[in-house]
Amino acid sequence: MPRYLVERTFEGGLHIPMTDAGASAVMGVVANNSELGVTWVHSYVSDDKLRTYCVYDGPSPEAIRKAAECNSLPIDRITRVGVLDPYFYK
Amino acid sequence: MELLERDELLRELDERLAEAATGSGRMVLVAGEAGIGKTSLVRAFAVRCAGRVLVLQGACDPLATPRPLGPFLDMLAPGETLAAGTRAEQLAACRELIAREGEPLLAIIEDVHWADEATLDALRFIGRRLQGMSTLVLVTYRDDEVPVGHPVRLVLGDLSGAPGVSRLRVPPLSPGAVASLASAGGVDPGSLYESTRGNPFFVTEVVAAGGGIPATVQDAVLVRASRLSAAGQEAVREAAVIGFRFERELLTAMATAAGIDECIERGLLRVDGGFLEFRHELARQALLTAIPPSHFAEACGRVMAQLIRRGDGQADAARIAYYAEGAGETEIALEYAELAGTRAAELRAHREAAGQFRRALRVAKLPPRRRAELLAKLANEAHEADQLEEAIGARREAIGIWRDLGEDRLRAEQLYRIVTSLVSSGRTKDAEEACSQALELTEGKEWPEAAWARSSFASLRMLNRDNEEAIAAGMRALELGERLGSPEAVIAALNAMGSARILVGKTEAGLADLRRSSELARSRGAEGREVLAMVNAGSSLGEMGEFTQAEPLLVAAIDFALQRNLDNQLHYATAWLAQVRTYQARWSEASDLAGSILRFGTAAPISQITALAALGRLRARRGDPEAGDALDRALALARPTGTLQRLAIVRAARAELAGLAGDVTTMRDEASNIYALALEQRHPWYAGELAYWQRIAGVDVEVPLWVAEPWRLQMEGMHRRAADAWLALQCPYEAARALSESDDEGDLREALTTFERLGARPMVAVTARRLREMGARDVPRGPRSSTRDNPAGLTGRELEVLRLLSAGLPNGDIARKLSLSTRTVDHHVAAVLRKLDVRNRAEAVALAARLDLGPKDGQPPAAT
Repeated sequence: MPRYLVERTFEGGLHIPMTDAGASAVMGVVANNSELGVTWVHSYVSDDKLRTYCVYDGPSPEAIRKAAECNSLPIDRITRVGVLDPYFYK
Repeated sequence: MELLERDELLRELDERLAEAATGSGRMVLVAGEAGIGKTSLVRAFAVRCAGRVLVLQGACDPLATPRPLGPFLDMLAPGETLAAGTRAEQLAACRELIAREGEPLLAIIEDVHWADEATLDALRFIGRRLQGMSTLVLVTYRDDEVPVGHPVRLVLGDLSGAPGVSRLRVPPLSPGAVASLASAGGVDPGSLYESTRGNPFFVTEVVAAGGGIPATVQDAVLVRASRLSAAGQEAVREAAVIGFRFERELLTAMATAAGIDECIERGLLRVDGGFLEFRHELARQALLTAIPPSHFAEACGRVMAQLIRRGDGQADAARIAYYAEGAGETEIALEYAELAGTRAAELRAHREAAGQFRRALRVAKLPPRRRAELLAKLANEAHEADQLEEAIGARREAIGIWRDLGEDRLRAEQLYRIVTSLVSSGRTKDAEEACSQALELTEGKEWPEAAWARSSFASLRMLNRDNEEAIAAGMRALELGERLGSPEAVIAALNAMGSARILVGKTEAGLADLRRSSELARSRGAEGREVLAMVNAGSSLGEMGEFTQAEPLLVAAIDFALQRNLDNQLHYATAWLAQVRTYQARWSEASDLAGSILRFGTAAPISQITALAALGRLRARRGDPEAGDALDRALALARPTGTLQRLAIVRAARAELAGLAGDVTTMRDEASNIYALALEQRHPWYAGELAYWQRIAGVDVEVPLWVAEPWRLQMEGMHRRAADAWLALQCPYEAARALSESDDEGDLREALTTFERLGARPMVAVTARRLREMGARDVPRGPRSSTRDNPAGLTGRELEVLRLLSAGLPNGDIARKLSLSTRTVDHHVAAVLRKLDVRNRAEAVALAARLDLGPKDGQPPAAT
């Protein structure tokens, strides 16, 4: 299953509260994703919360887009990536 | 019998049944390895439901040639029949059978991995139409016996995406459960689990046999059987020959009552009304291995005699044929195999029909004429079942026989039919060869076969895009067909002519021909030919860039083909619609359509090529990954065809991808590769696009005057007029691209807005850069998602209201849906009209659709 990096820009900033509401929003995203065979691995968020870099495993770029639409998340760019780790070269 | 560790599963089935009872039918695909207890589970569930709910049960036979629609026949009440007739009627009848108005129903269909083609069709049909049935359909199958490419897997995969359909896997028993069964039987739990891996059937066989633990299930069954008395062993052996599930009376004629009773008592056979059945197919198979061939043959003979005596020849033909073959009764096997094959063909169980005709050819040494007749029947069915190699082989042999016998007309018929199979399997050269033989044979003769041969020739010319020749040949075939009374030839001729006419720009005349072809096919009940005309119309128009006209034809063809399970046509029409949607910049829909075909990798190559070309192009336009992957696959499939219509769409898309990546050399190479052929065949659309890419790559290519207008205008530098021409064809991306080549800042800004709205990231970057280089100000640097999603500056709430408006809701309903007062909604609607600068709701809805702000199927509006 390929891995994709999704870059997003949030106009008003991405603020997910550390409350039950926040948790259920996040789990909702996970549930919608799994219906499409998409797994949200994790995301990197800029300090100003305006940009995120999200790592997904999924079957195709179209599945990533569908998942984003189900979850009302914007997409700036999708890139397919492979993992490079310093420990590979030991 | 108490079931261990199945409570969770039974509870889940209870839930599904409750959901179904509300009128939204449910289908559960119950999967598991052999012996895992699927049957036990569904039967226990049926017992649980009895009294509350009507229960219908049917099963598929473990025969090489199962009864067509077997499980549905099982469910019929005595005296009831299943309506035959057209395929659509047959499928509807199956669905009717398991739906009772307002009454909840449990329908169980077992062992679908053995299902015949007609049953698989019916399951697919029903699975897509669960809405409105208060039925829970339980379908069991062995997932370890369904390798990739198995027809069942396609059906299951197809269904698992459908609403209302879910999967349930039956797991093996836990070591604890095995241990409890072990101790009850005095067997060592550890070794028992290790041997059986928790397979319930294996476990219970071992425990019932007692003694040591055998290495395989087979051994366990044989050991258990060996503990029967002589009478019992005879009974169980005869039972194994008869089958997995059979009428009790068949066995009573072949074994003693005492022996049969013993088998039942000892649990080797189960009673189900007037039927007996083995606990498990594994048991029967194991017993069969221990039966010497001579005994097998003799027992088969006795079953066969009984069934014949019963006199239900039609219904039992498939079974009688099987036993007759087993008994070595060649004449009887031949007779019943042919009967069964004909019957299966009528029910459109083509694979089973082919199997029966194959049997007929196998068992008897036939005189040549008879053999040729049967080969023709086999080939007809094999072709429908997509077993093309077999069909071709059978026809070749038949052609040889007819030649030896000097039967020219019959030979001409087979030659004509082999052309179709050869074309379907992509062997165009061989098809041309066969066609010219058919023409030679029928030259000057007043036979219908002459008309067929000529219509075949017209089709081949059309497929090769020798359009003028196709039209001429088509007219000749039409004249012959009408004069010699061959409607089949007339239908094919009109099809070839109509497509060719569209491809030379005579759209109205072409459509008229195709309409006639379709209507004539309908009047003869030839559904495949009826939809073929629609598909050819849609794809030919699509090829010429006439997307507005192509769209409704393709949509109608898809609907038609879906209703009647005509997969070949469904896939091709879907692929072409994906192309059209790509040009219309409806990329989400396009990728869904393309994806639905490519998911299983078994669609015909021409459909895959078209779908991959669309997918690759839209990925390139979005700037998404794997555009190259899709187009590489497309090229690999297109190359062997050597034809313009397959290669051109792929090469053009590859040129575009290279262009967006700034790779000028590749762009030039891809476009020039097929350009000569496009010029030779005077294809206005392909020649136009390929010339365009070469021009962009700096090649000073000569552009003929007959290329499609938008391409011509664009290459002549008339940006605005080109953009208008593109918009008239519904191509917003191409329109924006034309404007983006202008030097006028206004044009470029307009192009940029469109590219942003469409999500065409690479062209956004290119156009923005050009604006900046020109010195334009306020050119956005990064993505502006909210603007892109919402060009009219509507607030989130206003956007929700507009979406519901577009779905046709009046203000009162909108208010209810959003938990607002009607007055507030009125206020929002007024704001929407103002911001969109339109006069009324209808205009707002139309504008919203154009700006792609309308409702997306079933999805909640995106918040801003």
